[in-house]
Amino acid sequence: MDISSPHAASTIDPKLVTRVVKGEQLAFHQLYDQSSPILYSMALRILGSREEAEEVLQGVYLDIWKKVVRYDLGRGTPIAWLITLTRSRAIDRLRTRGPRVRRQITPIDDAQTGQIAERNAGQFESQADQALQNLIREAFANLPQPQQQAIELSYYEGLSPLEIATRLDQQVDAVKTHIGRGMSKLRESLQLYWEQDESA
Amino acid sequence: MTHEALERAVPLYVVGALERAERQTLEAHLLSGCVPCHTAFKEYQSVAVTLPFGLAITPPPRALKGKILAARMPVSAIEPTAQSPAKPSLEPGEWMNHLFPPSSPSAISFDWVLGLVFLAVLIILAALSWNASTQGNGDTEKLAELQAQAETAGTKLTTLQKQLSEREESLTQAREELQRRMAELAELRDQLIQREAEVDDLKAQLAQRGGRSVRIP
Repeated sequence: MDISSPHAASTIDPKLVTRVVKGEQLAFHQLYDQSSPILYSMALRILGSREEAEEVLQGVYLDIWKKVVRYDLGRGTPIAWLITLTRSRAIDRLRTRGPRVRRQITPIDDAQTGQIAERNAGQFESQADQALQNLIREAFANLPQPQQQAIELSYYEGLSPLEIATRLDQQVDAVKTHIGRGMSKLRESLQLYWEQDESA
Repeated sequence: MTHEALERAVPLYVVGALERAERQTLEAHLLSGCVPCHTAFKEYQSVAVTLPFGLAITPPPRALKGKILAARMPVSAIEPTAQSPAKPSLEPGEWMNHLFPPSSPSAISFDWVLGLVFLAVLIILAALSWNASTQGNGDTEKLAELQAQAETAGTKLTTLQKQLSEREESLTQAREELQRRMAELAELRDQLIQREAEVDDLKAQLAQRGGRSVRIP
């Protein structure tokens, strides 16, 4: 069920979240199946630990089910809300560790996911998500390396411009400029996709 | 900060790269209703949440879903019954709840029967008093007949009340039984998911040990 679900994470219907809030079991299953691969991948990228990524996801889904956190349309699409929520919790967890030591994912860890990971090989199941994946990968790959690094360190490791500057041996203003320019280029690249999406 | 500086800070804000003071200044500016900055904020926010779509996707372990389902079971077992009367429409799997009327309408119908009984008694009494005033004491036989009819009607109504109560009770029992069965079904489904997760783990372990083309049903 998890693997063969044809539903895209990028197109989760807001009504599905409403049904989950009402306590509907099937809706909860569907929301999990649609959103967990991207949320888990992101939590794993931030924390570098499968156990911690699992704990973050467990907290997020349980809080949705128990209505500790609530979705409203003003917060954007359901997946935008879920990504923001999961990222925020993963970054908080990363910061509470104290020293910025990230446990790298070892080959043994990779083997533990078994055949599921092999079947997917880093790809989304749905075509809509795959299209978005290709688009953002291409747009990101076209950025100069300092811009890529600055955005990644900020978004996935929660580092401040000062910390990034120290790590990359750059000026703080230069780091800010890299992030600003990089994000601006990504916005331009995604603009056409959003326009097509809206017209569809 | 100038407006230009605030606008430049928006992309840094969405990736969490602003210091607290800068962040608070920008948030105050966004709350002030600056349309260009708010539009830029929405667009950059969309860019930020699109970034994870570029990652290599690693599906979570199957066991995680089982864990989450197990952790939320105490709540899920209570909530559907507590919330069902407030639901505005039929949800998938819930249509069975609507085979039986909820408790409030049946209570209303019971009150309605009692009201009818009371009304019937009132009509009979009115008829008796009217007869008494128009015909005096002359027709005692008719009075006795009317009294007998009233008693018969009363008996019939009492029987009807008993039957209604019995049916209501059996419906309540059936509804409770159905809810219990549905809860059992949900639990079974969750157990099945957990078993599937365990099977996947076993498959993964077998694959690690170099086992080839091992099929577990």
